[in-house]
Amino acid sequence: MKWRLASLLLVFVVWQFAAMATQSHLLPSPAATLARIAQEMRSGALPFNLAMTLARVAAAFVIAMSLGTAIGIAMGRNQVIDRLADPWLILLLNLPALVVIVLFYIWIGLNEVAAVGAVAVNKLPNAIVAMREGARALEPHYDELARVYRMPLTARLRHVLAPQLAPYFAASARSGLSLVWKIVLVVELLGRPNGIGFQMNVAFQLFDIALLFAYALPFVAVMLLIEFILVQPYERRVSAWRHRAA
Amino acid sequence: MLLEIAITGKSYPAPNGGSAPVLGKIAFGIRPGEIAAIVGPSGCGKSTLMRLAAGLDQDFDGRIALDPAARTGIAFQEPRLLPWRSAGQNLRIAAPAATDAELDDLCARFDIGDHLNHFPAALSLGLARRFSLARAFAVKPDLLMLDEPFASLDSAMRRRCCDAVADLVDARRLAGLIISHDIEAAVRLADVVYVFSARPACIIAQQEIAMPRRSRTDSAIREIMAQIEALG
Ligand SMILES: Nc1ncnc2c1ncn2[C@@H]1O[C@H](COP(=O)(O)OP(=O)(O)OP(=O)(O)O)[C@@H](O)[C@H]1O
Ligand SMILES: [Mg+2]
Repeated sequence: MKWRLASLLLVFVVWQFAAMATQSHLLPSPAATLARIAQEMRSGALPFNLAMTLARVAAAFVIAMSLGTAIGIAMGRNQVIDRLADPWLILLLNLPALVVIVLFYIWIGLNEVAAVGAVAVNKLPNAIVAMREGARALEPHYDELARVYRMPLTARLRHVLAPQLAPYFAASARSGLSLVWKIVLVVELLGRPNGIGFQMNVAFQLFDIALLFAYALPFVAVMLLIEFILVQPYERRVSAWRHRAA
Repeated sequence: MLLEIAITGKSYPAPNGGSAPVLGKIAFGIRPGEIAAIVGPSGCGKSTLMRLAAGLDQDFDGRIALDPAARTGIAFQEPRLLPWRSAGQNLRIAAPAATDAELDDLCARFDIGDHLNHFPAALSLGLARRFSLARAFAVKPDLLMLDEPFASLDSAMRRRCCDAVADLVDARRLAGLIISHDIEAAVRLADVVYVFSARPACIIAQQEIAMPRRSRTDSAIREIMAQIEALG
């Protein structure tokens, strides 16, 4: 944690020097950016747009991970399903994000369903691939154990399946979050009247770099926070039994 | 009969594409309250037979009838504890209906009570095996299946666990299939010992042991072992 904070601090130092050296409105200083953030906080615009974006991230993430987990496990466990769904999966994996977004907006309309759906569909194939790997790697020995000991389905899910899939889920959740919050901004920029992505577009139109920074920075900060206080501890927790004796 | 085995053959796919026979003709049954032991050379197919008996592998010729009402307590050749749950949780998960007192009693018998909070990776192989033995009893089985239950235990601990199994089997009048390299353990525990040939395995000899388990003295056991070795 100490080193992480130091490295973060270094970013600000470099930024400060760069701003001082260039003296251009194209690179506002950290102080100017903070002032702008405070202003946007007071007006309520920043919390509102940030909340909209986070809500879209959360919705798309939950949809993609739950669908991806279900489909991935089905494909990993069943050869027929795997063969049937595999071409679709490859298609989805290679479909450019922009194509999905534009098509969703055109077919479904410029609304929240299309926005969240487009983000979820972009994340979905990665989640499927990761969970399919996990399902293929399930150790049959533990399945035999569960059968001979006649473990009820809930116990099997909880004590036999979930712990084996958890590392794959964690890895997929982590790469998934970073993908989702990149795409969510594009989706907002193209077809939503609010959110961080929308504000980015406004800042771009006005060539207002301080505004751009004022929205980008808190967004990145929230993402880092989620990574450090949710995703990484979860990853550590699900693999704790590998390293820890008691 | 609790378990009726009438196998006419079992083979595994061979690396060269053909099939390699592992078990030949094997027929025997286990009555309620009867312990059968199987001894035989390494690699002859003993563990394979146990997997078939437990219903884990349906791909064989012949017939195996396991009383569907019978609960099986199994200890595989490797301890097979769930590595992501503590040793104590492993007992609990397998036997959710067991009371704390029952589990404590089993832990005392197999001397594992000090290690309940350890993850399996932190257990010695011998400890893990004792946990897998305790787990087999924790589910209050009607039929035991133990594959090399005392491997990787030192001789004092092997004796202690062997006695623990004998006590539990007698107290609960259990039936079981015990597989062992170690003829002595087989003779201490079993009512009947089947000697398997090398692969493809079939029964080449069998020895009934009428003497009650707990009255088998060391000299009596040596005598029976000598008889069995003479048969095989
Ligand atoms: N899944 C499998 N596929 C192919 N061959 C197998 C498989 N499992 C076991 N075998 C082979 O079948 C034979 C019998 O194996 P098994 O594990 O039943 O022997 P065992 O009598 O239990 O030996 P040990 O006393 O060493 O435990 C061995 O030669 C083994 O190599
Ligand atoms: Mg074996």
